[in-house]
Amino acid sequence: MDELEFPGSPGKPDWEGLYLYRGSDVVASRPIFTGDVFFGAEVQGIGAIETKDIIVIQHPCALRTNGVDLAVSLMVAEVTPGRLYAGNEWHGNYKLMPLPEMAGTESHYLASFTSIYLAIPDSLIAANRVACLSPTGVNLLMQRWVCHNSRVVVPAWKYDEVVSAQYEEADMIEEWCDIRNSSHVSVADATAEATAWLNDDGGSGVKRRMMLDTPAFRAPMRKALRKQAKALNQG
Amino acid sequence: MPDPTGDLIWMIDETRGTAATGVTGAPIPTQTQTTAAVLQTENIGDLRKRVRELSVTASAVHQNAYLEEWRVRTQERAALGGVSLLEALADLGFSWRDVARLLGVSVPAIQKWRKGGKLSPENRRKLASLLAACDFISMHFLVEDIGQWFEMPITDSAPITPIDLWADGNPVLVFEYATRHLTPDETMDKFDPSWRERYRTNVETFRDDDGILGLRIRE
Repeated sequence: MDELEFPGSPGKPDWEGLYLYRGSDVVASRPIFTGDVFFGAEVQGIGAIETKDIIVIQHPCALRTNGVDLAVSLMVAEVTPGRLYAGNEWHGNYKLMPLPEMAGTESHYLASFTSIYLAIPDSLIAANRVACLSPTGVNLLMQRWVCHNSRVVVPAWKYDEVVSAQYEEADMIEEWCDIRNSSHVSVADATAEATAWLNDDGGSGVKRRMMLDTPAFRAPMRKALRKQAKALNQG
Repeated sequence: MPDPTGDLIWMIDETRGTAATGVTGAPIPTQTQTTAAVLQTENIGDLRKRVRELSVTASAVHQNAYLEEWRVRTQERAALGGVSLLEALADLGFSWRDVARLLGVSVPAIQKWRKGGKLSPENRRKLASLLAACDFISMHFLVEDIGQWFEMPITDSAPITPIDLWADGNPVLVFEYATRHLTPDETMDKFDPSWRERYRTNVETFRDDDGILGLRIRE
């Protein structure tokens, strides 16, 4: 019987491994993704707009309608300060996702699956993004969220098989923006260029975005992306 | 046809054809024959033992040789600056996340180094040694796309890749796998003896009608 997992190994939790970026390390050009934490986001409350600290829990495949534009509204869960949940406590506590050390080694948070809201993408301002989860973090978030809704526990590594392509895409857009930034191309324009490149098939008949589903194509795609973005910089 | 056991066979009296009345019992081996057989067994057993010992010695010598080559190549790569080392790895197709894992640091640390942040001698050596390992594997084993090779699962039955082996601090296991001195299963057994149980699941990945990957319970 599978059980809910925690980052790291028994007796050796790896809280840092949950996160890609925290605090001032968050990269503004990174596309919004499942597991992103925003402080002070406007969400649809009961009959009124409320301001909450939230984490995006919408599945990566459902974040965007056409692969580019975010859905009209995104499902989010409220994030509040909380205590540190030890590794073995992750096996239970089905109604929440612990976010240990999210804002420093002594600053723990948790996402509550019983406090769910809808957020419009415009309210998720880059400047207010305080954390992005790593692939491990996203897999564990998905595992807990699905378990909360269904009582089915799917091994976290299986989530990786269906989420890693979208995660890779976010990485690649961030990389493109970073390379283009040296030519003073804005994040919005660079993101548009990157998504256009990903939507192109390069003559293969299969969009590059779709090719990311196959792990074997990812390294060659990264190389091609870097080459293309650098070529644009050179005019 | 000579008998490999040394003529210790039951012999039919063939000179009398169908008129033969029976078989002749095997001759009792002489002391000399027994001694010769024992010696032969011991000689071949000894040869086998020596071959086994030679194989162990050859493995150790081979490991030492390629580890030495790795050290020399690391020294060569260490001449590059931190930014150049990072760019060289990215140009091989590694993601920044994977570079961070391979070095045991965070992605923000890598981002800072890329922007010219100070790199400790230890981390610079780690970068150079990773790049040197890529050079070594690409050259000796004609791996065309080393970035791709590092992130491909070792077996279809588990999500473990050479990146995981390296990140776990086990470069020798990566080299033994790369040099094909260990099979994929042997490599996995050395990395995690319980991997078969750990990754056994009745959940399978499938592509749905809309082209999106999904998960379902295997029937």
